[in-house]
Amino acid sequence: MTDAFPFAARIVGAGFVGVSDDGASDADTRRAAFEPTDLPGGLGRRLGRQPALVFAAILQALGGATPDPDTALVLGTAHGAMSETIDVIAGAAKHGAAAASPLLFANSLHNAMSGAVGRALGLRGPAVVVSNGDASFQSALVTAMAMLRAGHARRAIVGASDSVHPVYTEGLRRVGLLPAPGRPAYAGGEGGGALVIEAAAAGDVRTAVTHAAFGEAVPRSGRLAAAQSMTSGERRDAARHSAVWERVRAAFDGPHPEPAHAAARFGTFGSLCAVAVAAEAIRRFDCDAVGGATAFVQASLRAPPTVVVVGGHGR
Amino acid sequence: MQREPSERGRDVTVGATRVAIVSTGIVTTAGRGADRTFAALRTGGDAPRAPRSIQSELGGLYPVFEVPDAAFGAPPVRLPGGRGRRGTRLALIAGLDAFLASGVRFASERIGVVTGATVGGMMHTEDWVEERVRGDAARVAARPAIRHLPLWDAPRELARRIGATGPVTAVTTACTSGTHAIAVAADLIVTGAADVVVAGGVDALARVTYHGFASLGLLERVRCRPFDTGRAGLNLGEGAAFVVLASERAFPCDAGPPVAWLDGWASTSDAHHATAPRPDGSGLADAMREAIRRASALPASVDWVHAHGTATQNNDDVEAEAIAAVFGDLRPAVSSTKHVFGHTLGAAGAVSAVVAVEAMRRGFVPGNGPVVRAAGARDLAIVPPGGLERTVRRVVVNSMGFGGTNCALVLSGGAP
Repeated sequence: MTDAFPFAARIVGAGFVGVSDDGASDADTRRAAFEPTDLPGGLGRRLGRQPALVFAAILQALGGATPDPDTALVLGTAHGAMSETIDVIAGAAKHGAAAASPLLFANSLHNAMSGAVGRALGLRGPAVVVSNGDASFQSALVTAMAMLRAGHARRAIVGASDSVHPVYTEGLRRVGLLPAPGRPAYAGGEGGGALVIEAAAAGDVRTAVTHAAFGEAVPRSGRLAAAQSMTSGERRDAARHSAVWERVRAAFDGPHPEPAHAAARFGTFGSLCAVAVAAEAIRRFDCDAVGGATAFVQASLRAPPTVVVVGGHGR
Repeated sequence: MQREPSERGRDVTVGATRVAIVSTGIVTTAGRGADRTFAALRTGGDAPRAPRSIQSELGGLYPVFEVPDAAFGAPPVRLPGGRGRRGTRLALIAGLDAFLASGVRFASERIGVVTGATVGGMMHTEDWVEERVRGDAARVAARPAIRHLPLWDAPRELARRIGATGPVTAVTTACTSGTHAIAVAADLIVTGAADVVVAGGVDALARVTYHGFASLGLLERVRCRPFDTGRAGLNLGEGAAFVVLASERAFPCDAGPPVAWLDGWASTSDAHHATAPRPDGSGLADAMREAIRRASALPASVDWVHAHGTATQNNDDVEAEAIAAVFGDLRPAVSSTKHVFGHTLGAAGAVSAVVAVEAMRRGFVPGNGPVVRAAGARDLAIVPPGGLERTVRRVVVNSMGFGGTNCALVLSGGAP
């Protein structure tokens, strides 16, 4: 893996909505304590759960500020608007193809999230949605950083979200990725996270994303991975965690959040840890940007060995 | 090569390098490869037909442009996973054709893959959901796993076969996915994150898109008629198209001279409506202007605009406004090729880009379908159906999509 991404970005805001600390009792439905109607000003009235989750995180990250219309919007999602996708298929199956809902179809697209957020915030700049399994947020972050560096915008909103749906949960159970007697829980869940970043010089490390790399194609198919035992998967994940966190520790010269804390608290489909830990570091260390964070790889099924290290120095 | 400071961003220069297009790969209803593609463009290609790869009660109403079975062979792409991976197979055909033709030899960690797509493995999801809705217990029990919309299946599988370990991701912005994938890839190259990126778009036909576009009233019952006054909608298509982008700085490689250059790319948003573009066309116009500016070019240097041209009322009206706003009296040649390939959704922008590259190589501007124009409609220089034999030095490729997304590319001929 390329050790360091060749550019940096300053983080000026972070926000997240995730499953709560005590929400792990029913791992099949690890829903965030959040409803689209929680969004202020009626913004969530017509939004599905998945775009609403990222929108809530973006509003947190903006902290009440109105973004410049030229702000870039780069969002990630593994599964997109899952409820709308399943509902539009189910609707056509139940009532006939001619009865498919045009509104549901339009909202089922992965970029419905960027369209909805862009309309609400009046964003006219570049907007891209990426999808890269559990690394979707990381891909969004790297895409946004490249976009800033290439001069497409001065500031970018980077976010990601995924939501749970019973039909998909059933699929996870059938491939052995949900809890069973004697087997620990797959940390599946939902959430949304966002950062607001600005172009920054690579030497500007105090409050910047200092290292990021992504890529490394998966040298095996998801099908094969699904058949592997969780035990070996857990071992592999643990090794990855450890290596990744060592990088974070190395990049971070103060106290740092513990991976176990983040893993327990943010068991989402995996796009969100960088944001969550970033926000946690801001809260905990009262620094104006990010302490240290990583995207940990929680599930072997869809995870490429992809790493984003969000580094910097606390006060 | 240094570029002008950007009006929108802080600096473009990063030790900027020009982005070379080393090679292309394409598979559509016309078959596999640029020669078949251009044979169809010269003749107008086969008419759309009732879909065979999907089953739908609307199949008799709305014809589509499907990839012929023969295109999957010679040499065959072996990939397990059933029909849910039709899109990934198409991506492997076009992506591997492009990569093998490129001759690039770089360290694997300097090679990336960026793929635009909208449906991914949707066919698996459709089966999974429909079997449950219909209470088909036996089939539900027999189906081992769901793989919901794995849009990243295509880029990861392509990266695995190429041996690319650099940046790999899927880009999904509705009908601009293919152009956005190329734009994202170009950013990775000019910022030094990769030296080579295999970038393009892919989509296979899926019931949910077929039924969704039908529900929106956007499907045509005969061959679509881009920019014609009597147009009544689009034909869906499927396919994949890829370009191999490389940093000029990293050249020379074994590839020989580039076939073209990607000199400008820009993305904008309408912030207007979930499905309808902004009526004044300002979103697409801004994308074209910014892409041309980033190419350090002038509108007068553009020989051809490869229009998005879906043949829906909204798209073609708005795109005509945008082209007129950017080019005014310059009136570059304008044509859509969707009457030949259909609207290939996530692949569409990449199909247009590959057609643009090959048009410059061949000195041939593909024709639009026949057009009858109403009084008062924008007076674009629509290319006649037979196309134009002429030198093409610079092409603007447009795309627009649901969610109010716009992306424009500027491609220049391969001569330095």
